[in-house]
Amino acid sequence: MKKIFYIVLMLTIMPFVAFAQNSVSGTVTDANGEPIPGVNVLLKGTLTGTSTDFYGLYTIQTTKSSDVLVFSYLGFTTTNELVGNRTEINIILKSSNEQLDEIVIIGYGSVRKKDLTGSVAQVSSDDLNKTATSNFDQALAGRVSGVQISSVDGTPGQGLNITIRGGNSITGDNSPLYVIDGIPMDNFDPGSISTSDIKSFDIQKDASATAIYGSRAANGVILITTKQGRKDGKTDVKISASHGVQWVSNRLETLSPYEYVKYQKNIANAMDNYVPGQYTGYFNDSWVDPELYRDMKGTSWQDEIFRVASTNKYNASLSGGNSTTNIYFSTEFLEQEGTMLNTGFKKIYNNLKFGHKVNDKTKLSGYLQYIFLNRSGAGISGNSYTSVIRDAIQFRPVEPINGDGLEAGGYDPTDQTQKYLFNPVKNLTNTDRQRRSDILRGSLKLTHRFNSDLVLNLSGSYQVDSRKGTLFFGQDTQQGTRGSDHISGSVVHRRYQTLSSSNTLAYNKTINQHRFSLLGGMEMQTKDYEYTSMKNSEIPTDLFGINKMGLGISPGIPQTMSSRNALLSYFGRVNYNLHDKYLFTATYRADGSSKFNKDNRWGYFPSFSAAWKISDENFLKDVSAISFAKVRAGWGITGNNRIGDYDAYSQLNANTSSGYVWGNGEIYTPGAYQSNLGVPNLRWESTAQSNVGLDLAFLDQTIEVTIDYYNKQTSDLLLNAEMALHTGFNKVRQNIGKVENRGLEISLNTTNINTGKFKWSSSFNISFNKNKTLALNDGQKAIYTNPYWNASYSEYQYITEVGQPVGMMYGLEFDRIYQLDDFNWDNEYQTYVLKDGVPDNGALPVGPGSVKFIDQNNDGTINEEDRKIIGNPHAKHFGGFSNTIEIGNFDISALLQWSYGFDIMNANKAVFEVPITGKQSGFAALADSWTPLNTDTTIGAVRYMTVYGAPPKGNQMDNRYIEDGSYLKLKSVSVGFTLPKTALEALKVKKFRLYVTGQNLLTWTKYSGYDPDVSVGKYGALTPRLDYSAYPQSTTIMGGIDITF
Amino acid sequence: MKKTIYFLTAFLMIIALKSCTEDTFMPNTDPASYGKPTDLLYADILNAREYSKLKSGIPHVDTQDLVPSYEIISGKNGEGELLDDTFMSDVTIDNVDLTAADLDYSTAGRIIIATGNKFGPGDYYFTIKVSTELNGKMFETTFDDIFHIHVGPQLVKDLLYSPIAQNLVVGTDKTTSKPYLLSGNPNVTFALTSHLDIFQIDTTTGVISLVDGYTVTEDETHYPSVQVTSNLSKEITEFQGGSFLMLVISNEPVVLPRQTIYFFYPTLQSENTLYGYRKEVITQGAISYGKTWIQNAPSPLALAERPSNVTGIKSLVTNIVIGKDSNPHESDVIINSQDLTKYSLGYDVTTVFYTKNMYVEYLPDGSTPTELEIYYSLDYDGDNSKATWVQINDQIKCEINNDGKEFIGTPYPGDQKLTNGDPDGRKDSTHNPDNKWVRNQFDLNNFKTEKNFTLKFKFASYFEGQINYTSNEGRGGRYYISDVHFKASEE
Repeated sequence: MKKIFYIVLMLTIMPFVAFAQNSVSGTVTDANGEPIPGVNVLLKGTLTGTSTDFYGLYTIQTTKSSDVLVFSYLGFTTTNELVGNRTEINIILKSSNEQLDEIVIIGYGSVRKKDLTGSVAQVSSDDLNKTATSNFDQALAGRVSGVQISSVDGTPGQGLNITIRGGNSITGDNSPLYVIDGIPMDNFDPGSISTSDIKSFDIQKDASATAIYGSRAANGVILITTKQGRKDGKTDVKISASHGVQWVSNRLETLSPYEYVKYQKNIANAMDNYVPGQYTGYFNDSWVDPELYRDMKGTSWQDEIFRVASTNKYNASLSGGNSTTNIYFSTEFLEQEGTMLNTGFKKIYNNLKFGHKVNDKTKLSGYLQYIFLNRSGAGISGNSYTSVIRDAIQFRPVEPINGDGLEAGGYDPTDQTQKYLFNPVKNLTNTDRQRRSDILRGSLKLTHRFNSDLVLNLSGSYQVDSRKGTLFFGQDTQQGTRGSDHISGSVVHRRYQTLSSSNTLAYNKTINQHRFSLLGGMEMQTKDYEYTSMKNSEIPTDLFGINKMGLGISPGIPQTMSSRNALLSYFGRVNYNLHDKYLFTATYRADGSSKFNKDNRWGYFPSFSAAWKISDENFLKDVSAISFAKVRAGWGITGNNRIGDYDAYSQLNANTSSGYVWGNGEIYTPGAYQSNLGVPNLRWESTAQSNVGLDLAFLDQTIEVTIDYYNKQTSDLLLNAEMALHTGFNKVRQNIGKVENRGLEISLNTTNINTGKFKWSSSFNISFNKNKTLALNDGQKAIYTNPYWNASYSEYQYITEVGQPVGMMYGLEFDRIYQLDDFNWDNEYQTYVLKDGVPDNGALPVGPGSVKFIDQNNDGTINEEDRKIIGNPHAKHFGGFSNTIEIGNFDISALLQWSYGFDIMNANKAVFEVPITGKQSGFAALADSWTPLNTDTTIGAVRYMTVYGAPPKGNQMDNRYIEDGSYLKLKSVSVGFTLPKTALEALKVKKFRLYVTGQNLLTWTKYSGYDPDVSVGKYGALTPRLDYSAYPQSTTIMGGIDITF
Repeated sequence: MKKTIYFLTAFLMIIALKSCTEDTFMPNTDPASYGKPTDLLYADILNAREYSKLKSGIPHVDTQDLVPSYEIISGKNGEGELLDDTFMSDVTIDNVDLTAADLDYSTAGRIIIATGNKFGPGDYYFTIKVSTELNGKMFETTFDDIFHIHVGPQLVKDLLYSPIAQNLVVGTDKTTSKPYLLSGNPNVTFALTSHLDIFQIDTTTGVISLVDGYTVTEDETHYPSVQVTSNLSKEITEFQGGSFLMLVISNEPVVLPRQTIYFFYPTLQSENTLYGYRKEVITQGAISYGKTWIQNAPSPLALAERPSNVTGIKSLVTNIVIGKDSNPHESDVIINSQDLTKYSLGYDVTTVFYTKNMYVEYLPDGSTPTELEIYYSLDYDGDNSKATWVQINDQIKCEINNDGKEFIGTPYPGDQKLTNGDPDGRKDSTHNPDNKWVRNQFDLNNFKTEKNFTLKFKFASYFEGQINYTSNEGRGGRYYISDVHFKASEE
């Protein structure tokens, strides 16, 4: 029966085969399923041939079934295929050298990694996906040389500081430009993309690579390409679900109940001048004896405000299509509780991406995204008056045996000096703060291939980012109870609308050994910004929260404003490849920005780079150990225009304080004032960067090394420069100053073992960067910055000085505690008198137990003149070391990340390690505070002989609070298990992976704060590495499952 | 394979354990960490004078906050000779009374050498032993020669030409009188440090005369500065200004008016005896120590009588009202003790000060809730509680707002309104000091034989519990003290 069937079938098919025998067609793709245009398809032994089109398609005429087709393309292993009876032959070309032939996305195009002439680094999307993070930027640290990722603090969902090759700007923004699927995006929120959707992640570091983005590329460019639908007629449905827990693994060590009570006894003694009196009486009445508290458990207020938080993340995607139309849809839901009460992060992400071949020449693609982000929770850092961390440290750990009438934690609600203290649990619980973003993003792109050499790309995109921030203080909050507004609420709405278009025309031509690639393009972008705010106070009840602000009886004046800027750009690039050994690239971009006056509107940004593949030279070809060697060099200029839309223009403003009442009985007449002094010749900030690099590979790409040295100088800094008082302006935006960054980057990737069931690869990178301020305003030697982390500690604590790196820590140098031998005892007056030659403490008298600093200028008085640089926030080097192991169906990866040789200004210690009178607790060091019976210490006295030990205002920052922040972190570990093929077939699924992953698991550091990865300074590069009241970083463990159907 | 999995599992467990939450609290101090006392320190002594009382400062010693016991082991002089009992019997060291309910550390370790001792000029060294005890375990350390004093001669602290205003007539041999050295070792040498082109001084007697050939066309008034150097210790005391000598040069003799010496005019600019006062809080109430007797602007009314060379004057103020609430508060301002014997002959001695009450509102029964009480003591020796204080409010001559109407007895605080009565019977609408500066003068002529006269101001509260002004329960208000001074006027 079977035989008959075959005979019938053959007879039926034969005519068609015979008919089609002359024509064979198919698609040529790479290992990733991507079509390869331009592949040579030859009939072996003849001159008959063709090449694949833009979509990898080919058609060739054959004569007989024994014909052999030869598929060849640079970088891929040539493949011979017997035609036989087939009419369709689809070929997957295997890369001849996989690592070197990886496609790297560059500005407005792509290039094989080995053909790069600039400094471009890649991060594997797999590496990003395997981490227990909510946004991709949290997974970047330690993965790329030259890219420093630092946290502000551990606030859920908060963006990180990404600095590529050191900060260029002093008072401006140092974050890189993001280009998502070819669309440049300013102020991009890393939370607005799903890590699962990232296909490739490329970081352009040097000017020769970034200059094509011109004006916005001085801080480097991050190019993200997202996934798209399959084109092979198959469909993938991926579902992943994960659940994680997070907790704050360390605590700031505070006084134990026993040590606290002992400390209170010392305060009482000091306040009574060591004669039993009122304070010792109070102490005895309430606390009785410290020994009674020795074994008491106590209340950890830090434990009270922290919690073990959960994170749930669900992701689903569909990827399908054929060679004509493909579609990709993904959705993600993320809900992350913060480790601090009433804080969290929520994300809902939807992405629809499509591609459609209109005809053989034209392709249409686009995407539509809607993203909802909500970051909730009271601001933990940044408030100069209130702080829940401060309250959690200073609230006492134990209550007295006999009540003293104070509220839990030792807080006295009637004491005006404690106005800003409040129960931190209540403050967190009853403060409702939401920061919501609704982002709608769409893009449409038309690609038309006139012929195999000439391609036109037209694209347009639109993005609306609508951000609504609400803040409501309930009754049981510091503001609700003791603030001037009491129960109050405010709503702030910001809307950013970006409309852009990017259009290029590319021409590629190969003539013998000469390969040219030309690109020309133009880009337009307009950005509109709207701002609305409203506020109401004295709301009689907090029952309705922010939803009934109208109940308030003391409304603030609503504020509205809007602004707009536009950018028009023309750019071009020439690539020339000779003998596939000598590579040249030149780019040029002209940007015109509305932010500048007409005369200075246009900025011009050229770049040149070249590379020489030495390994292809005859003298190295026979050195088998070296499988690849390339030298690169480049130079270019990039720009920065990240200033306010109207900073270059003089402006008038009107507000509530600019009006007049001309006399009794007269009505209020609004007035206006000049709010900005526009500098007419304000122009682009520009960064000139030179780069020399070396790419090496050994033992058939088993070992790959990349070394880069760069030198970049940023001039005409868009500096918010201080002005002479007579101008009437405190600061004005000007082009002044110069900053230099020089550095060395080394990356090493190795494949250590690669057997059938065991694969082990490692990646190591280390970066060195030296930052230096070369110039400031004319005649200006330094910029002094008050970080204003707490209103009571308001003094210059940072300095940016010519000849020194930007944002150095600045303060007094601790000498020791004043001891008795610094004083004479005047028998006549029965008092201590400072000895001649011993400096005093400026504004306040000193006594034994006061803090003594070094009198740098030997004028006999310690004051602001004695401040000096006391800390360097810039790491000597930083980097990462990751390992990926596959054992059978298990996959394991681990990343160690470090930063070495930098300082942190631990402002917490400036508050919590200084003894003060009162019931407040503090750090453990207070147990060692100076008393006449405990003199060998570096902690001052609370009071002695009527002199308070704390330094006077102006002398509050010294090098005792500067700590080495060097750290090594086990940043992430991931262990996964993928079901074997047999099990997959039984389950009818394509892939099934279970995993456990952890983030921030271990930190080795001498730093005494929560985490050395912290920088909560308000003024960017001017106030780096400041730690005060920071939201602690969390340790995260997450387990999940990935299924592909 | 299995081994690898086990290893990885163990590794992850170690990580998980390491990542667990740390404790918040520091470990309690380990009793085993206590050791012997170290670092005993006495401040160097200034103004240790021959045969006079010496009270050292309080020593500091690192006992890790354990209570120290002090013992003088021995004393020796600069030549290394041990001091015998004729010296050491006058030397004592204070210790904490361990039997007291509340331990008083304020004088522990202080060394006192009694008045009339044998310690003449020279160096002396004392060896001290310090002992501590914890849970029955004793720790002790002996510190050799740790306390050193350099005893100097008594210094001349008061130089007085009598009368203060003297007339030198050109062309005559007239000189000043020989000055009185009211205190100190008279083995001194005199020198002029100003007006050297006009005057000359006899280095042995201190008599001042005109230099030869100095002439004037009209009368000239000068206040020369005189430096007195101890011949024993070479220590120098300098006297400046009109408080001890005013010289008028004329061609004919002139009659000069009587002068006044402002022999103590403290600035009150900071809480320290160097600035003239000490404060002591007896009942703190609701305000903090730092808000008690704080510096403020001085009385503008005192400007007229304040000598021009007195600068930097501050007033002191205490305000016990927080919001609308007042709580009982009691605190003292103790002015440096004065030796009035120096002006026992030929002088009229008084103390003058300015006071002000503000925002004092009467209690529901019409009485004042607070008052500034004024006391003196003749036996105050640094211990407020042990001294004998005599209240003098009813003896002080007062004048409100410089209105020229003097009366005896400090005025009753507040606005003197009789709305709720006058239970104290002191209200007087003709003497309303509310929010006005009052000039106070107390006659000290009856105290001119006293070597230790001390003036004290007390913020006194006469109510219990918290009172609230909004509820008409009264208000404690605030009190100011300014320009406290002592003066001696030639009779």
